[in-house]
Amino acid sequence: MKFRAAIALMLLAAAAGCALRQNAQRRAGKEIEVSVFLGGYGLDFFKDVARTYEETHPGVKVNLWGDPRNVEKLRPRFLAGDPPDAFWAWMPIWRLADGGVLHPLDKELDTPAYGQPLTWRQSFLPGPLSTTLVQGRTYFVPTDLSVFLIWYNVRMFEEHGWMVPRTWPEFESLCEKIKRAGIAPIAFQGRYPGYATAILLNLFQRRAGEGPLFALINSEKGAWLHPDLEQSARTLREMVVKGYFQQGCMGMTHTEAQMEFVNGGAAMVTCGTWLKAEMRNATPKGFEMSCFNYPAIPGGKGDASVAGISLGYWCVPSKAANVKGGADFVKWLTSLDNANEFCRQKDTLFAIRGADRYAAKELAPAVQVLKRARYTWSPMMNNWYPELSERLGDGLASLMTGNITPREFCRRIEQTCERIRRDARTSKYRIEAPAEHGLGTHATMPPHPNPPPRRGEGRGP
Amino acid sequence: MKRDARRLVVLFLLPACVVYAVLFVYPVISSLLLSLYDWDGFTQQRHFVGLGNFTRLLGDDPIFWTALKHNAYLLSVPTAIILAGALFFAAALTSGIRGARFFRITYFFPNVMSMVAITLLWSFIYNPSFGLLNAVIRPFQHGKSATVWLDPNHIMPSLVAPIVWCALGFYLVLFLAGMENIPSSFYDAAKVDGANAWQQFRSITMPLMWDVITVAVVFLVIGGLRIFDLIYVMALGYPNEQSQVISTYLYEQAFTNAHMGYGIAIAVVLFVLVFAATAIAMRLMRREQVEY
Amino acid sequence: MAASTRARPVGRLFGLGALYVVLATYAAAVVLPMVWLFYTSLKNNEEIFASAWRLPHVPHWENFVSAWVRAGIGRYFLNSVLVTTISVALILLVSAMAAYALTRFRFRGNRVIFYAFLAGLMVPSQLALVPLFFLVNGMGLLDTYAGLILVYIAFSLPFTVFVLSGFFRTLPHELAEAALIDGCTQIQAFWRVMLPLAKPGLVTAAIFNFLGIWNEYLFALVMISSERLRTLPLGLANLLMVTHYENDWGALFAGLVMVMIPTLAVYCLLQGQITKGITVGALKG
Repeated sequence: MKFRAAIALMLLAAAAGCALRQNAQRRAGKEIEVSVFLGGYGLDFFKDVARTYEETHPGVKVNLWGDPRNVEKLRPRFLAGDPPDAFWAWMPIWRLADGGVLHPLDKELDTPAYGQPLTWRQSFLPGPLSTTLVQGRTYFVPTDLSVFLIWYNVRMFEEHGWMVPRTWPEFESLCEKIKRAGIAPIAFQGRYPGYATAILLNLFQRRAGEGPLFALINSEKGAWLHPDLEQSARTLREMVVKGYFQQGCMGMTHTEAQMEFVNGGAAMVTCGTWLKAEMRNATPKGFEMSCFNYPAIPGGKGDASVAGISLGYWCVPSKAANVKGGADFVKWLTSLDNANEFCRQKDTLFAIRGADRYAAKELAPAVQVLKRARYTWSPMMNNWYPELSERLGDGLASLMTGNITPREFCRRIEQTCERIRRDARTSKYRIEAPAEHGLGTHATMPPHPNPPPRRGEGRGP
Repeated sequence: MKRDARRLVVLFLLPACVVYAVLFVYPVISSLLLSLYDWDGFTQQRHFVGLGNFTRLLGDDPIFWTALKHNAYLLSVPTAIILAGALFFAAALTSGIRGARFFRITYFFPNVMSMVAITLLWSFIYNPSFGLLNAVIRPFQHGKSATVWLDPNHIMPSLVAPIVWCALGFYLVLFLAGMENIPSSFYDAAKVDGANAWQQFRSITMPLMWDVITVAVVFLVIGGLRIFDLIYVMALGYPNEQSQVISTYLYEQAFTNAHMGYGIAIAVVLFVLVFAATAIAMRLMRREQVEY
Repeated sequence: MAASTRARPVGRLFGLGALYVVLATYAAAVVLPMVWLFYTSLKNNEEIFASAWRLPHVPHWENFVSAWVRAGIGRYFLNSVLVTTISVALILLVSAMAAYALTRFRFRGNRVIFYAFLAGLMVPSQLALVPLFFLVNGMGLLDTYAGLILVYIAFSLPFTVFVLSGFFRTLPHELAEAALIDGCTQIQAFWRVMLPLAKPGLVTAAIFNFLGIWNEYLFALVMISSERLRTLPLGLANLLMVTHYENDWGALFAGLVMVMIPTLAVYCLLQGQITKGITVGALKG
């Protein structure tokens, strides 16, 4: 009784506060409120997008604000039933989707995209867009995209005559050569062992192929007990034993490990394409970095062109005062021009087809990887089940330091998945494997219907 | 009661009681109720699960028990060191040496700093590349690579130093107050009887200090259970299994993982633990009242 | 003090020389990090990584400017000053009134209310955290100083009422009665006569509360989310998290030094009072 009264009291107070807010403007469609997570990307790009939106939509004002802890500001807003019209935040958005708190964007996705003769849906890369489905509907759209790759020190490789490896045996012999030269082969962000997820899952995909990989992402029964996974875990541990990872790396944060890389302490680092942007201030002048996809495993069932990615998402709350405006703003944000601009300014890829026109030189290999990948995958289970993500991180740390055997590691994660499967209060999610959603081969990057003119073919003088 | 007096009582009690009832008592009682629900903290939907949160916490949550293990470590090891150190220093400083005041003032200073500041300072000290600690021990390391003190695999022992560094001064002052209350005639009489220094300490100092020591133990144990700032800040908001404690786990479940009811259940269990630990500590340390 | 005539056990046991060594070692363990902190804050990045022992070539005072401006230490410091002084002032007022009423007057429910306050000493603040968040939000006071201060008052009541009750209990009745006979009302008697007499207790309570609130982190973390309202502990924690994105270690050290300096200054001034407060509290408790 008391609890209900309390909630009622809070709601009453909040509703009273609501009435005093400027929601009238938003309800009339004249204002859009947007909340941005203030992090490495800053706020300036988003403010520009807001400004250009206002210019192309006269009579509409965009109230855009950013905060590193915008989750905490959004929480009471959601509770009071008065969320902003569009947002990007580190929130459990899948749970919000379940709870009916987010607005499904399917209708809007079928409307024309800005600046292209395509629907909004078609303007997205299909792989990333497929990660957003919850029970058949799309509750958020993917925006910034990063590919999991291996970065290397170009100058160092040239000096020593080292070649980019294409197969895993080549990779291992490269590591041996680097070791003999007295340099650490791979820097590693040991304090955040989740970084090894990319290594583990890439190895697994190369060995076992699409089916087992997606069974694992979907946390199906027994998925973590696959023999190829145990083998991949063993490979990871062997890399540590053979000294391929830098000494002392388990205690390094991501900045410290990456500093080692740009300062020449290590020849390579396993990281996403965000590396260049993240280390912008700390990279010494004259340092050249480039990247390559995880090497193929000879005899493995998985296609070696496949790559793992991670994504950011934007959402529109269902109870927002201006849902239409919020969705439209997100559509503007993800237009091809804005996507290209984001890529150029922030040195990050974007989940829009063709948004790589201005990709920096360092990111060019990543763009090629995306173009050639038979499909892409994302470790969605880390987004869906935070507990699993934590246990995975801890398990990887224990595995790499040798505290548990590879078999024990797999068993533990499987146990965690089992606990999650049994837990009635957690919703379960699923992503279709690429073969299931019928995209076929080479479907990640279908040819752009409006390709920019090739050199020599001009549109003008 | 006279009207004038009644006026005072009502007027004087009102602010305190209102603030206390609304912002302390009510939330605590709310918590006890909320712990019976499953709630994500974002929507209005909550399901009543009765004691479900508790059975899950105590029966099916290995992370909770790991966190508890860490709390047990942090309420025992630093406590033992602090008690031994504070007693030793208090005895030393009351033995008539010169500069006692200087030592007391110096040892106490860390206690007035916020735990966050202390955490920051020690994260600098522990830094593998430029930290003070590695600089101090490097001559003794004979070329081994720099020790990584905050390696997640053995971070717990590294947390002991900041805790001791911060708290020892406070308990030193506390024990000084207790020791200075003991009349020196007791010690003189004991010396006449032929007791050596250690015997004097054991049979005079300790029993007469027992009450103060009990208070210290209770404070330290409760502190070890409730510790939050050091872990949360040192682990940079990424507490993984190796450094999780109950308070940080609670915060993570409630605010980060959107399991509000569950997080509150953890808080209720924490409260029970504090209560139980206090009762046990006081019971274990009960002795005959020593009158003098 | 008469200790010199006591020749305590420990001195005899260990030999004076060894004892001084031990004492000096721990004193060094306390002082050395502080000294290191101070001179490292004047180095630039290269010097910091080069050697922990070498003094800076040239003092890089710009580290302090950097920390003050970019990391916002200046603003957080002022925020903390504001929140802490207002909180402590109100806590003392509210608690003194309550303690006085509870200890010097007999009325029904007196014991119940008193023990209700004391019971709060046992409750960990984490237990109230979540509902408090939503309650304060419901009152529209989330992310405001009014909300944070009210919360601090509520959670300081158990301890402060306890301490002040102890003091008021020891004050003689005759003085208050004399004031009443002279024509004061009860309330006037409180203000003019009894409260000034409780000064030692008020000072003790003020010091403990000041330190507690100045350094408080968890509630501030939950109640305050705006950057411009951050108190010093929040700002410091943010500084540490920022370490892993920026690379200006000198400025980080400088930021921490700037936080330590006022604490050090206040400590030097008041350490006698603080120690006396603990001592007195220990003896009465």
